Amino acid sequence: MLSFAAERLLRYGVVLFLVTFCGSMLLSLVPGSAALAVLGSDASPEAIADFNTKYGLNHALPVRYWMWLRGVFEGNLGESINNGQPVSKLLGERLPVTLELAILAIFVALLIAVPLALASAYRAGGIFDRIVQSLTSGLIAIPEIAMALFLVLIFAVKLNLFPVTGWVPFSEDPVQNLRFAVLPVAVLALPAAAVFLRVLRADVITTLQSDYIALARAKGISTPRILFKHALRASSYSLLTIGGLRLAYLIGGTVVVEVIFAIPGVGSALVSSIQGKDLIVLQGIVVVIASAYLVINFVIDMAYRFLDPRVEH
Amino acid sequence: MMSRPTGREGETVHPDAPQVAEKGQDALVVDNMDVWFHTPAGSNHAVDDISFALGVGKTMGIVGESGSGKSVLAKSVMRLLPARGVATGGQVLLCGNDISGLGTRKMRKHWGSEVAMVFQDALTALNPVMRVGDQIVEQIREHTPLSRSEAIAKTHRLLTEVGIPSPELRSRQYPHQLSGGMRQRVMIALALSCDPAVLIADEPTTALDVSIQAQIMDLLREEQLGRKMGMVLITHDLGLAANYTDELMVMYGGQVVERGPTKEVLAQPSSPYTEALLRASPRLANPPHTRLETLPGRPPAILGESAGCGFAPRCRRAQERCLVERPRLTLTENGESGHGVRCFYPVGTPGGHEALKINVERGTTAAGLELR
Repeated sequence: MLSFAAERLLRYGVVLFLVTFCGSMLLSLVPGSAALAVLGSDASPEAIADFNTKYGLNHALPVRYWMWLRGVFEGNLGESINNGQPVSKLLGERLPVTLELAILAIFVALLIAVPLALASAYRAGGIFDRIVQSLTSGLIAIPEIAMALFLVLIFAVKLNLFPVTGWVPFSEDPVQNLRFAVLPVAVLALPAAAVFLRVLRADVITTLQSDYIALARAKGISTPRILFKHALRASSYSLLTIGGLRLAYLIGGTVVVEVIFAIPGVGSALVSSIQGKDLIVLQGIVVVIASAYLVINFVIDMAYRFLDPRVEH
Repeated sequence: MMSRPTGREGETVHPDAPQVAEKGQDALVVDNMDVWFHTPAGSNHAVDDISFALGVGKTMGIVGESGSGKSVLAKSVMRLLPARGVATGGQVLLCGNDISGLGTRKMRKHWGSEVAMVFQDALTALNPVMRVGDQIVEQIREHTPLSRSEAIAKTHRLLTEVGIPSPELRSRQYPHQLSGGMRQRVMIALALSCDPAVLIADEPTTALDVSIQAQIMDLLREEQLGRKMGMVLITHDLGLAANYTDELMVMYGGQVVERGPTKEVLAQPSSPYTEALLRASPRLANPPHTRLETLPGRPPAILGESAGCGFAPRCRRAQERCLVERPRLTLTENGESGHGVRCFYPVGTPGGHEALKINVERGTTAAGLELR
């Protein structure tokens, strides 16, 4: 078990190195420069040269990457080129917001998808199943931005139930925080729920054909118990994979929702740092996204072992 | 040859079998069971008017090739067939109660407690992600007021009873961690856990090593006798049927082609199909390397009912009559034992002998089967 963990850690280190190295190479291809973005397009050549010297931007790319990497090993993710703020401080403020959105969204999506998928699969092809299938097709097809605007129009503008935009941190006021979170979470959760529902429904239909479901029936077990206790666990492997990937994707990619709802998360930081050519902040965000995938992958691997006792090392 | 009294569609209503006298005390009575599967390609008469009665502590064997309708009959008796696309007819009395019209909700109290099933392959029939002990505890708690710890204690007793050493350890394991024989013992313990009156064993040893088969069958018989359960043993192994059943039904294409006391059916088979099955089985009395006879052709798909006998295309005795008219289940000459056959030219009768002779002389049967 220890060697298993050690091997994983080593592998994750290599992945992180490759991702950040390739990331820095690719990000440097973004047209424009940080100096122009910060100083304005009418800046004097001397000012630009000073700026580049100050942030080490006149070094060759691999050298800059090496400097950044050395900083990382000293626990320093660098400072924003745009405003001098330490990247670790910025991420420390932004990441909890995005994590909250992403985790709530996945949780809500599962809460919607699991019972509906079980009910659909139990009477596959029935009227309920067909209605749910049409709804999920719709939800998957609607773009995030359209859904966001639609929900804002109805629930915030017309019904005035939730605030239109903005954010209150959970630590300041948990109730307000949740009120602000409802609409963005809905925008993220509904399409995820549709995908989860489809995947789980298909697997449950297969599971319900199996002998052990027939045996459970022949034991006189109630239908809800057969579905939740016998069918769900054995049908949840694909859902686990899809759910994990979705969570990782949301941690790095709630961009549209964060921009529309003016939420200070990782996504909006990503957008502003691209606009400011802030390669150091971008690099920090790349580390966060890549780490999220790696951590979640690890958790999924562990969860498989828990869900399916037949999986051996 | 005596003719049986007839019921709907001129088929039998099993009035001749000896157990009919005690019909009220029978563990299981099946009357005129029909099952149709409705598929886009047409309707399939998978079980065609089958009746039988299973006495307390008796074993009924059902034999036949794959696709003959054995398992469908068993599932239909238990009312375990899916409702969609399936039509059933006939009556089932379980411990004297009519369960024919009952839906899932009402069947739940009968399932597991009055009628239990042992499936063919315990590896696929036990839930792979649930500890085997929990699977038994679940059923006990469903049907009895026992607490969880009492149910666990009962599970351990049951596991010991079916020959599983260290039940405390085994009950915490998952199916894949047990051997095949051990898994089947768990399934038997599960089936026995709520003292059912009827046990339906659907090829309980087919997935097992031959050396384990006898152990499992002996265990089943021992439990059956001890608990006075009625047992329906579905198998395609005539040897197994010979050793462990009292009565035998031979099925072909969804119909019973021969039935009666096991010893009599196997010693003096009356249906050409039963005879062919026996010829295809190896016997210790034969010299080594005796070539087994095979049955030409395939079992019918039963889509769309043919006018004649279902076995006629593969039968060595088939005459013109067999192609246009369907024989009824009628008693054989020593019919007082309940031995019945569905054939115009039964084996061992002058008519059957004559039919075979005609076909051998012309080198082909009426259905066009070439005879060597």
